[in-house]
Amino acid sequence: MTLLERCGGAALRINGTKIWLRPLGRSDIGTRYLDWLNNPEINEYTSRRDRSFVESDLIDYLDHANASSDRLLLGIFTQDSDTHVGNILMHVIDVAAGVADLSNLIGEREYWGRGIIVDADSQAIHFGFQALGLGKFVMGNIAPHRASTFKSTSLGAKLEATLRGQAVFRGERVDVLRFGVFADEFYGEFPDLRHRVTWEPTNVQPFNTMEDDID
Amino acid sequence: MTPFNMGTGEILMEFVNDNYNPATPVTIDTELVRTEIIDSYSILELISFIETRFNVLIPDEEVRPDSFRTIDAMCALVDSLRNEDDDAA
Repeated sequence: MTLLERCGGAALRINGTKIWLRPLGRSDIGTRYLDWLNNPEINEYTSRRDRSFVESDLIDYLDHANASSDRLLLGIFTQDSDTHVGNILMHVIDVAAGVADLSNLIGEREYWGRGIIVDADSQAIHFGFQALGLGKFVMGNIAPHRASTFKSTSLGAKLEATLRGQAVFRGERVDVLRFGVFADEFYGEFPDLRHRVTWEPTNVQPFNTMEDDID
Repeated sequence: MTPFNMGTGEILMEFVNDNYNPATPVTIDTELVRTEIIDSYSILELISFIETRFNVLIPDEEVRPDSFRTIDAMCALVDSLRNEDDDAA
């Protein structure tokens, strides 16, 4: 079973305050999406920054994610104008421990600084904890990307590791910061979310993790 | 121009009010993160301003909401970083 099927398939929709999330299909791939990935400013702090992409790369990436048992790729759409502004990827890296890595991209520059990414990430994490039964989310960024550091800590995540000189940025070695967040830490920042069902359909099939066995 | 004798809190309040257009002028204890006056993007300008204006370096561990939640919290951060510099001198 793919993770997308586990989550209700193409019908999945997760509603935030400013955004909503849904799976992507091939019809979502186009010039706009391609421009995001080939824009140096958008990708300045990512591992994509020195690469170029063509449409077939996006199709392969999308097809691979949608066929995967451990990856869930969702588009981020604005509530007010229904504009596709970015993507979010949940990658379940350890099913037994219930751990998933979360990464994202806001491709539309004009939507930076509007609280979009925290809304999107918080909804994805909430869905992961409550619907999929996950127990921990991890995320990371290079140290100079302080906007991402602040975003992660805004989600309740704690700095867990500093990987010294693990990446190269603007010709210099820089640290990579790794963050992690458990449910109690997350809901400490988003108490109103804890008991809300923000996704549909609601018959999501959770993972069989060890979470229930952990005190 | 910022008066020479302005305190840390006044300087930070002036910066936030001038640059982030809050609905009402912020005070020393206005919640800045939950109200989204400061977010993950605008924090970059604020960090740069604090580091330049107060001649401190904000470590990665302090790039978190608690350090910037209010003007008061930012004053405490600046004070602690200045004290670290003094201790190292």
